Parts: sequence; structure tokens; C-alpha cells
Amino acid sequence: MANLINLTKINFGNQFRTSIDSSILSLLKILLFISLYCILGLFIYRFANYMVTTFNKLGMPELALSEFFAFGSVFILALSIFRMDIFNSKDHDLLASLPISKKIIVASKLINVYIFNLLIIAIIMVPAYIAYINVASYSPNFLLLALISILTIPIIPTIIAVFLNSIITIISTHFKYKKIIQTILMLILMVFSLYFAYEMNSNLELNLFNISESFNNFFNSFYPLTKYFTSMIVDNNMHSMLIFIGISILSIIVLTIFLSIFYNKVTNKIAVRTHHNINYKHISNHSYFTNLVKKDIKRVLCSPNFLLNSCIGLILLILIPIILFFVNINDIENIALTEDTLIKYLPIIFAFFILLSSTTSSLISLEGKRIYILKMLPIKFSKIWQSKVLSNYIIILIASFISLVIFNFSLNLTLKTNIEIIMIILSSGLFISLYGLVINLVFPNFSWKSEIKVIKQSASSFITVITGLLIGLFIVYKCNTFPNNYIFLLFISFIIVSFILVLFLQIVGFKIFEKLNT
Amino acid sequence: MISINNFSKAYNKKEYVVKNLNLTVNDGDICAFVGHNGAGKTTTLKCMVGILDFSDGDILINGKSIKKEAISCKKEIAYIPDNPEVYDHLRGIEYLNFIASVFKVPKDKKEALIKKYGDLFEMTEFLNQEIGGYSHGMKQKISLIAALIHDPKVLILDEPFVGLDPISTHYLKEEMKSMVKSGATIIFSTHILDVAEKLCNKIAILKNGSLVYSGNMDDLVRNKSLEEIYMEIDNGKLN
Repeated sequence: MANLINLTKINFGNQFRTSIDSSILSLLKILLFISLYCILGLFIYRFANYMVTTFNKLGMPELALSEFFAFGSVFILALSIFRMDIFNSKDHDLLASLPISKKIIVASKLINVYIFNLLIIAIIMVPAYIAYINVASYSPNFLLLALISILTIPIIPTIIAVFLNSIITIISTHFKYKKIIQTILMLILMVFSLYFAYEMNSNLELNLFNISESFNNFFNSFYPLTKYFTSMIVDNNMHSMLIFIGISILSIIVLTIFLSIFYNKVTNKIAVRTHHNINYKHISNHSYFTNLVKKDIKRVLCSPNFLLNSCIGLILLILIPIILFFVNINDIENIALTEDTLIKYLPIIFAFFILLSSTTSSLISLEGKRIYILKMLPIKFSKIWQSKVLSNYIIILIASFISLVIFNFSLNLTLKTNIEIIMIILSSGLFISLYGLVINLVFPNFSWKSEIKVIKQSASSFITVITGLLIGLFIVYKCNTFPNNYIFLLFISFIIVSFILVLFLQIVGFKIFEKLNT
Repeated sequence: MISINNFSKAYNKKEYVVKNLNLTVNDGDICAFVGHNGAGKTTTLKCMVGILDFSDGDILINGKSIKKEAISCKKEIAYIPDNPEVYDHLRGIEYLNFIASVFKVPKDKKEALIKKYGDLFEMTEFLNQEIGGYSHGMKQKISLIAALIHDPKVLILDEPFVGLDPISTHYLKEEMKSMVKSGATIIFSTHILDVAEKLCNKIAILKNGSLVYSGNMDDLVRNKSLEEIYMEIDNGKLN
């Protein structure tokens, strides 16, 4: 037990530590984080207040709590599932050499994930509880039960996320090309998740004579533990509380035992270096530029984290036509979209998803301490930035054209629509590739320890995604005001901005690159 | 004492990294583990410590099997990897406290040993800094201090002198000599044959996963240097 506490403390300190004693900047960062956390809490409180008031008018404010519980749990699950790899940690060799049991190591890692998710569920549930007690009557035990629920809610979604991620890792270690198999399995999991979400959505059948039961059924089918949670919080039912806590604790114990059985086997297999016999025919005769491009494309494709986070727009762009190939859009319930409308807005949809796909926003940072290799190469900076932009552009072009081909099989696209889509692919893809690189050049981060820090949590990836999202939303919002030449205008706009970005890279970019220092 | 019996390690069913290794390092021995890159040294050391699993043979640490009594064995071992991966966002002192708590080192002893080894390896003034800011050599030193503060009976080191400054190298060698005098067992891998020759009384040479020589250093090195003998063994001239 002492080892578990020590290890948890060490993991927590190592993950969340910012040296507040060393600089005012670090202190400001913490203040900024706390401020953003509180502001987010206020927004959630306003939404919760609206939901509680609305459900209260129907005489069932507790449905708002069920809703927050169910969606909060699924949100944590979705957030954790692609980033909770228990087996891949840098401290494995150190911990494995110490007299600490595997169960303790696994449990400490699970607790670490749990603490992170606790912060998320607190920001969702605390505002909901405050909104609830402002409006509805509550039992004397409510505050105690609310506290217990906040501590308990993240457990099951964390367990499911870690379990699914671990299963994927365990399966992929049996293959020679582990990373590629892991990426494919993650994609399959994503497709299943989308299908599950669609199925859940279609389960909402409103019975006007018993709205409460309809919603309860929906939330229960969405997340089966909802009924125990509602019964515990609202009806003060101790039996439900015990079941809820019991299932959570039991699942932790079962998962800890399960993972500790596989822990050494999987970590051993991950450590295996696959020996590929060199085939001299494969020694590259390509130019250095081609090799630079290939290096960056491989960097993206061999990292499930990188692919799933930076290319999520492209993945969805391929998945949508595949789904439409099997399902007729006119048959899908709960979606007010016809085939004609979809075709009309298809170029806009392409622009929206492409603008969410920039690997270049991380490619400079991901060089990390190896950036010196690029800086020492006897080649001009223009070739380096061109290779990085081209690598992202190639990924966008391949994914988008695959999507377009499948769309042509799924829908009756006209030649005009095809041309418009191609114009959008070429221009928006070029823009976002250049934009991501410029932002990464201005906001580099070479001091990362895990690539997730760069891919998901760095300033450059955040700015690029937010900008892409805002431009995408603006394009969608304005698409009805420019009916005829809208696509052409977008094409020209993207090309002009891309040209400006190229000028920036040529004139200013190389100076910034020369000053880059790890 | 370390006793390796019929030990083999394969990463997959066909490819053996180490084949049928038998080696004994007694209490009071310093054994150099020598071999070319990819010979299987690190794999063997990791199996001795329990980082890697293995199916064939057994490794005994002071008579206990690392396979069957892993925790009990690890309590007697200190291991320093070739590339120490320590928690970058922890301060040096926090890391040492953690290791000391895992090995249940009493507070007084812990403080005395951290001071002793901190001063010896010139790390005391850096213990309050985050490990992420340390150089490779400093990370090596903090790993060494962490290894030494729990008084291990068996010391297993993977290329311990890489990245260390001359003064620290000297003190590490002196510390190793002092440890074996009090009955500890030490095995370390190295490519620096001069150090191996002067420091060790035992040597084991590994080639392509097989042990090609093991025995007393004095028996091997008589009229020639270890480097010359190693070259002959590697070329197959000496068996």
C-alpha cells in the first residue's frame, strides 16, 4: 500500500508538475489554467441551469442530472480511449527493476488516469449539482451523495477506455508491424463508436404521455449505470449507491488483475526490435527532398496518436461516404438532410473537414532534440518547409480523393460538383498545410517528453485547430449568402492567403528557423 | 551471488538473442560483461533484474529465482540502465526519496547516504533541480546515487561509465571496490576494456548471444592486454 501511495505521488508530481518556484511565467500559466477552468465551469453552470429549469417545468429536474451524468461519462470515455496506453510508459524499465509488484504498478497508472478524469467530471457535475439545488428540493444527504458520486463517476468510463485501449495494444503486439495494426484497430474502434452513437440516438422515442420514462430509457440505454446514479442522488437510495460504488470498485480490481497478468508480456513485446533483413534493392536512390517528405509521412502514419488527432477531419471525410455507401441518407432517422442538400453542401463539407487536418502544426516541434539534424543539413530552409508542407498536402490529397471517389459511388455527383470539390481540396489543403507550419514555426515546443504533449496540448496545434474550426464554421455559416460563385471565391481566397504564407516562410521563416533552439 | 543456469532468451520463437548461457558471479566478485553491440549483454542484464521475462533456464540472485521470487530478488538488487530514464519533472531529491521509500531505507540512514553520495558525485547542489534539466552524465549520477542509497547486495550496471566525468568515474570505481570488499556482487557491461581489465577479477565475453569465455581475469590476461585477447577471441583465433 505504501508503494502504491508513493508511486501515485511520483506519477502525479511528474505529470502535473510545473516549477512554480522558478518563474513568474509558470505562475501565470497556473493562474491562466485555473481561470479557464473556472470560466468553463461558469459556462457549464449556465447550460446546466437552463436544462434544470427546462426539465423542472416538466416536473422532473432530476433528468438534467441524469443527462449530465450520462453524457459526462461518455465524454470521459471518448476522451480517454485513444490516449490511455498503460503499457507504453517511459518508466517501465525503472519500475520493473524495483521491488514493486505488477499489480501496484498497474493500479498506480490507473489511479493517475482516474485523477485526470476526476478533474473533468468535477467541472461537468459540480455546476449541474449547483443548478439542481437552486431549483429542486433535495434530501439532507444530497451533498454527501453528490461528493461520493463525483469521486465514483470517472471510474467506469476510465476502466472501459483503458480496457479497450489495452486490448488493442495486446492484439497489435502479436504483429510485426505493431503501430500500423494499432492504428487500424483504433480506426475500427472509432467506426464502432460512431455506429454506437447513431444507434443510441435512434433509441430516443418520445412518448408524450410519459416523457420522463422516455428520457430515462434513453439515458439508461446510453449509459446503463444512469438508473443507479439517479436513484442514489434523487431518491436517496442507499441500495443503489452500494451497487454503483460496488460495480466501480469491482471493475477496478478486475481490470488491475487482468492488466497485471499481461503487463510483462506486453511490455516485453513492445520492447522487441523487429529485425528486417536489408534488401539492397530497397536502398533509396531518391533525392533528399523525396526522402524528407517520406520521413514526415511515415512519422504521421506510424503514430496512432498523431494520425487520430491531427487527421481526424480526413478520417471522418473517408468514413462518411463509406457509411453512405451502405445506408441511404434519405432513410436515416433524426437527420433532416436529403441527398440533394448533401450534394449541394458537399464542397463546404470537404473544406470544413480538411481545415481540421494539419499535421504541419506539430511537425517542427516533433523533431524535438533532433532538430539539430535538420539544421546541420547542407540544404536551404525552403526545401525543409516545402517537404513538410508537401507531406501534409499529400496526405490530404490522397484521403480527400479517396473520399471523393467513394462519394461518387454513394451519391450522384455532377461534373460541376466534382470540379468544385477538387478546387476546394487543392486550395484548402494547401492553405491549412502552410498555416500549420507557420504557426508551428512561431510557436515551437522542443521540450516535450511525450508526443501527445505536442500533438494535442501544444500552443501551435491548439491555435491551428481552433483557427481551422473557426474558418470552417464561418464558411458553413456564410454559404447561403453567396449562392453562385461561393466556391470560386473560397478557392481564390485560400490561394491568396496561401501565397502570403509562402512569402512569409520565404522571407521571415528561414530567420526564425535559424534561431530555433532546443 | 548471481547464478545463471542454461539461460536462453528469444524475442520470437525463431530468433534467440542469448543461447544457453551459464555464468556464476560470486560474492566479492566484480565481473565485466563484454561483447559487441547486439551480442545480448543488455538483454541478459535486464533478465537478471526481472525487466524482461524468459522461458528457458533460470537466474538465481543469492539463491533465489528471479522468475519465482522476483520481488524478493529485486530487494537485493540495484540496477542502472545504460540510458537512465528517470522522472524528468521530479527534483533529484524527490526521486531519491521515492527510491529510498520503496526500499524502506530508514530516515537517518537515507539522509546520511544522500549526503555522502551527493557530495561524492558532486550532485548535492543539483538535487533541488528538476531531473529534466540534467545532462546525461548527471542523470547517470542520480541513478547511481539512487542505486547506492539502499545498500544493495547485488549491483547490476549497464555501461555505467558512459557519460560520467573522470572524477565521478574514479569514485564509482572506488565505491565498487569497497562494496565487493564487504561481500557485494557486481556485474557490469562495458566496451571500455582498459577499465574492465583493471577493475574486474572476473570476465564474461559474449558473442552473438553465446558465452565464448568466462573466468578469472588473471587467467585470461597474462602477457597480452585484454584488448588484444578480445580481438583474438572475436576473430576466432582463441577459444
